[in-house]
Amino acid sequence: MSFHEKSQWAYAFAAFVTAAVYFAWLGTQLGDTPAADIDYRGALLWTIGISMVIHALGTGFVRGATPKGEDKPDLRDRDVNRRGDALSFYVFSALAAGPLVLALVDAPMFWVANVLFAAFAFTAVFGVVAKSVLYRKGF
Amino acid sequence: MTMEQRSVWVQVFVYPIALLVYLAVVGARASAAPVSEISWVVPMIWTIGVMIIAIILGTIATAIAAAAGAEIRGEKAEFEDGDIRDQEIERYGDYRARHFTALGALAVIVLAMAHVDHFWIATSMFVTGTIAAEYGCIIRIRAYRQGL
Repeated sequence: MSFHEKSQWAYAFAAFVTAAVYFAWLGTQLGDTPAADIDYRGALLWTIGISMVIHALGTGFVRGATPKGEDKPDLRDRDVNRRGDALSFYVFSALAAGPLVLALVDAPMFWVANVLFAAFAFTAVFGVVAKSVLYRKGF
Repeated sequence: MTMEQRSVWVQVFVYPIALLVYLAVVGARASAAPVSEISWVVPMIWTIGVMIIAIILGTIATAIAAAAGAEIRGEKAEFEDGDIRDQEIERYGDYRARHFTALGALAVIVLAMAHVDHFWIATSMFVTGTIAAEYGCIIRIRAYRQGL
């Protein structure tokens, strides 16, 4: 595995675990509290913040474990990255229609924010899965 | 010029024009009344619909115009099929646009958390989406000229 193949797993872990914890928490809250009364904002900001910290630490850890000079992306890393991000762009563009429609129909802001964050987190994980498939199976 | 390249050239004009028309229409309404009371949903749906149709019709029209021009000059009209280069350039443009939408989405999440009016949420999503698409088109036009 190249440095870039490994370091993107740090990103997947950061995005997936933090979002999963957040949505699990939100699910339990929704069980006994009306959506309008849930104060999700602090939790969401913490989720994004912690995810960034885990990502940075994970990348640093992988970089530390990589022999010096081997962390330069090669042609394959570059192509996988471009193809993966292009695919993520299509997925996110399609998913973003959800919160846009919610905003158009005046849905409560709670749902707009959380559906948008769900789309964001899903696309992040999707991008990493797509890239690892590209790494393994080729184009 | 391939159809893909033609379509990029059409899009690069359609996006900013559509965006400016939408912003002018809702801007005029917003200056007369608070945003929570103006009607912006219908203009946005119209803008998105007209944008899609304009891109399709524009691509067809420029292809016909190019063919007609070639006939007038006494040359044979050629329709190039898209190839691997078009595909690579498209992916490259979309890859660059991806970062734009990711940042835009975070900004919109923050706006939604601030519980601003729905108008601002939908408009900022529309604006970042359109700008990302425009940015991708500019990157693609540059890639057609200068390579990847």
